[in-house]
Amino acid sequence: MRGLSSGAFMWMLTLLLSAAALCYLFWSGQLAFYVHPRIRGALAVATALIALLGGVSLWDLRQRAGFRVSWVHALFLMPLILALCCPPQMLSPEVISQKGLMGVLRGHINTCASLHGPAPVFAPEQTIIISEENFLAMMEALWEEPDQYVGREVEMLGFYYEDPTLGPDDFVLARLVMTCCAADAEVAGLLCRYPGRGQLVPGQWVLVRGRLAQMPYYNVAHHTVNNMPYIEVTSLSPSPKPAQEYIYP
Amino acid sequence: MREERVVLAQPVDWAFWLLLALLLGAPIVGRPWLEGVSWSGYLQGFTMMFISILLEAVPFVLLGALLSSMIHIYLQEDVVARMLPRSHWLGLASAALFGFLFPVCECAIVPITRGLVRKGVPVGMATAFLLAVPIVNPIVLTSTYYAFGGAWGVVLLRGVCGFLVAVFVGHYSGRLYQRYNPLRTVGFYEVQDCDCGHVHAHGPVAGGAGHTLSQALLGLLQHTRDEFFEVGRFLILGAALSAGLQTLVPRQWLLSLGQHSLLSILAMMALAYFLSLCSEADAFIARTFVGQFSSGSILAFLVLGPMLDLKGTLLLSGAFEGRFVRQLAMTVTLAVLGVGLLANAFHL
Repeated sequence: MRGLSSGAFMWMLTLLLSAAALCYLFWSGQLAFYVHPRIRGALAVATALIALLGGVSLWDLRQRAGFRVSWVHALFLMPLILALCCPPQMLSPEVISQKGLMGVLRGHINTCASLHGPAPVFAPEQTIIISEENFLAMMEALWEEPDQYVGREVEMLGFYYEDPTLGPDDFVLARLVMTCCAADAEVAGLLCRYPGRGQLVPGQWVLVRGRLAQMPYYNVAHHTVNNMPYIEVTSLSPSPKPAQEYIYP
Repeated sequence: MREERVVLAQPVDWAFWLLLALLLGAPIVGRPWLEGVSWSGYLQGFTMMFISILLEAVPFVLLGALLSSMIHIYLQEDVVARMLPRSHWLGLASAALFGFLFPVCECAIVPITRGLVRKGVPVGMATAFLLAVPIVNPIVLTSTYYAFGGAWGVVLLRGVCGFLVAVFVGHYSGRLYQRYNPLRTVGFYEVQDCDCGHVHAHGPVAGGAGHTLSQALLGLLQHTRDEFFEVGRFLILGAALSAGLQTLVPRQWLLSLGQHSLLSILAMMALAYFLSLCSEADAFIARTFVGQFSSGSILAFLVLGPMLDLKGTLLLSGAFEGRFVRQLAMTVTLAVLGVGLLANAFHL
């Protein structure tokens, strides 16, 4: 430390550690918990630039003697300290519940066909399996024409989401849709009817099998009464988290 | 030798060691302790959203810092003066349409605007540029097109209203600051003999003419690093506040206001301000409110967000005087409110 500027040294350390943390997120695949994969390119360039900015500090560490550690350094280190305390994972149920059901009950989140391909066609005797790949397309198809799917067997993996506005046997089998970053993630999914829902914990991943049905609801978007799809659950089993917890449009 | 003795005489920097201890203690002590507390879910959610906003914005803030440094080091005032249109309105309009050539988002625009004002670009034009570029650019308009399922009307309304608000506020700011520069005078670059210890570049010094290529590059990178230190703090504060509000305040609270003409607009403007979404993503969020909120309020959300949000206000207040930021915020808010009310009145 002697002869060096503590502020300049700490700023260099912060930049280099931030670049290293970003490299780790890239390497471990945990970056997907924070941002949409399409931002990876821009972030890779940013990581290289941050490392470079840290590196060039070596040339003028001794010229900035009066530059001392301040609250600004603490601010820049805050993300690193918080990330070390709370390792990356999907948003907690407490925070998801603050976002509310806005994206679920009107299917708004998933009515943009240009963001996904057409819904897959399942043969009449075939179970409809809603996966990460077809999630957005299936949500749109189910919300657009719920009567086409009434009585069909369905299987879907999602996390348990409850809301005080739902009935005592109802819950949402949900996924989080990330448009850009975790802060804009919205809850999307299907309403499920299951008398034993009380045993479930918010955020718990479950594999649901059941039959598709429809029920009328007041569509606040169009001020009309429409039918919405839901699952009459026949079996439900706790399941490990999927490899990709978010849905990326 | 004398200089070295002065440095050695400095007191021990406790803050340095405290921060280092926090960094090392976080995974060893912090993580196990936090797993046991009842509010760990909220902290986890906050951390994820906070860091995600930072990661989404940091490439663009760095781009802004880099471009701003290039402007600062390489662009000469006389060149800027020659390039500026003579006509007031043409100047405002061309500044507001610059996003088609130079599509950057609201995180990058603040340092660039600061750099331009420092080089003598009139405040009115700089304001129109600052407000319009994050909306009236091909990337944001394309994402709006996709988010609204190909509704050209929304794209057009967003673009035109963004342009008009930017030109109007630019004109107003230009009149207020005709002979007065609202850049912060106690800022990073403006103090000639400060004791902060940074190597300051004033005009084409670091990396400018007469330097080798490697010296020029080193000067540019060091300048970008210092600019990032200056701008990044406001980004972090803004991201923390935005993530904190999303963690603590249920969005449902706003829903009861949805159909009231004025209150819905105010609610959506408040949401746009506090969420501080990237202008590439905000249309997708706005879409989830269609129907539940009046059309004017959705338009107000789409126009206000890229122009004025919490993160942007903090970034702006790092570059410009408080009075300028307050006046800008007030004018933009009133102009966007007017746009929203007009849209509701005409049932757009």
